[in-house]
Amino acid sequence: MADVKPIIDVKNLSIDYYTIEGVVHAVREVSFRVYSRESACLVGESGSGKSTVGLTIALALPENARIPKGQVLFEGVDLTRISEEERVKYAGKEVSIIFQDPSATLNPLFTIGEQIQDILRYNLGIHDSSEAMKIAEEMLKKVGLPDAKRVLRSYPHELSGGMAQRVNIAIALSTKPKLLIADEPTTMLDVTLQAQILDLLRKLKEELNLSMIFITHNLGVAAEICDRIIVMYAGVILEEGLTNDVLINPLHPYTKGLLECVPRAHRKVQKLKYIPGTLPDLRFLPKGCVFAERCSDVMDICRRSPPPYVEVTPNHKVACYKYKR
Amino acid sequence: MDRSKGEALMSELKTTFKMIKRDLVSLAGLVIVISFIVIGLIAPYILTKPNDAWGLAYHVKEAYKPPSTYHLFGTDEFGRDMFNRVLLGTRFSLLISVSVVGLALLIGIPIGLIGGYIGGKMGTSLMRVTDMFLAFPPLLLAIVLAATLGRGLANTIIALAIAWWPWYSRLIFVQVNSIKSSPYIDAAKVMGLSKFAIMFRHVLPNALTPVTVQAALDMGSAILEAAGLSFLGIGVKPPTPEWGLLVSLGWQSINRAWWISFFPGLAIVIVVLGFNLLADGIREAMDPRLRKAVLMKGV
Repeated sequence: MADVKPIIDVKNLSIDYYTIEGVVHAVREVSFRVYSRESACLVGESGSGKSTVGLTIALALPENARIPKGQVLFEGVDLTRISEEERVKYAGKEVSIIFQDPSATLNPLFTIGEQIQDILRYNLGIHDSSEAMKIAEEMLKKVGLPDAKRVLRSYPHELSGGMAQRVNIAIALSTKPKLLIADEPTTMLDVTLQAQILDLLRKLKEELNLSMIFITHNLGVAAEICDRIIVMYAGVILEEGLTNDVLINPLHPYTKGLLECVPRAHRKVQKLKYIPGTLPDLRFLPKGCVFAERCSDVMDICRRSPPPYVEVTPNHKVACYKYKR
Repeated sequence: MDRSKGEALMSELKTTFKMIKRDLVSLAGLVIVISFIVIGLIAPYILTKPNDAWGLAYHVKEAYKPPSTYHLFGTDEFGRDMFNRVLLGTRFSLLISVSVVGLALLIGIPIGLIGGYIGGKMGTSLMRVTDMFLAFPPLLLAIVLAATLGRGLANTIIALAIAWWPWYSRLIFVQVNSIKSSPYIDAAKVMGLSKFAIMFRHVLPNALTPVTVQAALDMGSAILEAAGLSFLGIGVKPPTPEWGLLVSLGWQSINRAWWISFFPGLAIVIVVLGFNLLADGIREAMDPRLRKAVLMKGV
């Protein structure tokens, strides 16, 4: 992959949330790259900072978020210091995002057709409504909604969850972005629908030459769709590698724990395993490794200073003292 | 506007109308409001005794005649036909209600929207000004303003509108605040829509429903309050046949001639009731989600 240019280059990115209860250091010194036409997966439990990273790249951070440190380079442009005019030029055109709750991200007062028209008008300058409708219909057919004409006339509440997520994908891709960020797009859908949507995303990625950042807590989903997996925990990256390497040969105790938590139909397990404990309070950072309190292989040094990020095998990196050279 | 858009608008209006028609109560409100508007518009041209209506004629011999077939609502102390006066009064009440609510919306909505969505120093100071106005009881503020500005139709309208806009701006502000954190606003933001596009395409339409209902209710209240000002002698000048003023003028002789106050008062009651009934129907008709619920119920 090294010969391909990165589309997103995140360098030492830190993000703080300013809340009434104090400053939450949601993401700290995170660095990773996503290459063109690659799909990378940010995996982690709730509160690991994976969505925050996604929102930063989509320029959709909430108002109480600050970026004290680091860069997010999109084709050489630093997204963390971007003006309002540049934002409008970039967001939705170069990068699109789809969210977890598909029906809540559609404006309840307008039909699907009107909403796609709006996006085309603002983003691509298509003012002719019949032309916009034609493009909208095409997009809807592309995302697997054969009854596109009827969907265009529907209001969001008239669509099922799966249909609404397809509409969201159609809207996100109608502006032909280079990068799609999918923030847990299947979490709120039925299992059968999940597979369909993943399939659709994989197909569209090939068809439209997309790069993709997929955010999920589900390693099974990550295995389905991603070339590379980045495991996040409490605002830092613990492990990063090609999907097969990470799933077959996980290095970090946290990744191992996560894999044991995935329910499997063919294996008879009396009780599903889980990782005891909860995430550390991100207002008061631990001195050592963030996972030390929950780690089964914890050593003395883990509590004293954070472990370095080492490349164990080519393209497979981990932050753990067990692999210190 | 191209054809498909025109058609869409027509079908939208048709659905709204259908929704209101389903519900007898709102239908009654709609009928009252429409007749009020129609009568208000054509009143000057259907008067049988225009001089009586405009208050230019005096028939001393005809004074204090009770209602009869010739004087449907009786006559006042100058012998003027009350039916014609009340009929013409419709026009003034319509003018007052539409301009007061219209002006108040024109001031209140932008302020609430900026205060809620743009925020910052400007938004905060706008909302503090709103709060200052809200600290006064609205009728009291209107009375002070009307007394300062002097009597007259235009001054009455201005006084009421100034007392009124803070309520709309507060209502919009609250709505905008809850809407601006909804996922579809975030989605619009990440799709690269500008702040203004989001404000007018997404935030405002979603914030408008409660304001529309409140405005419909206030159409009635504006008539009432204008009548109140006239009644206190700081509103419209006589001999303008504004309903509140007619009630006030008849008040002195209520024991001798009840009809002078009664009929304009009845007109006020009916129109205010009409607007209140309609307001509820509008709420249900405007929201696509509620629309579907009603259609499914098959009411």
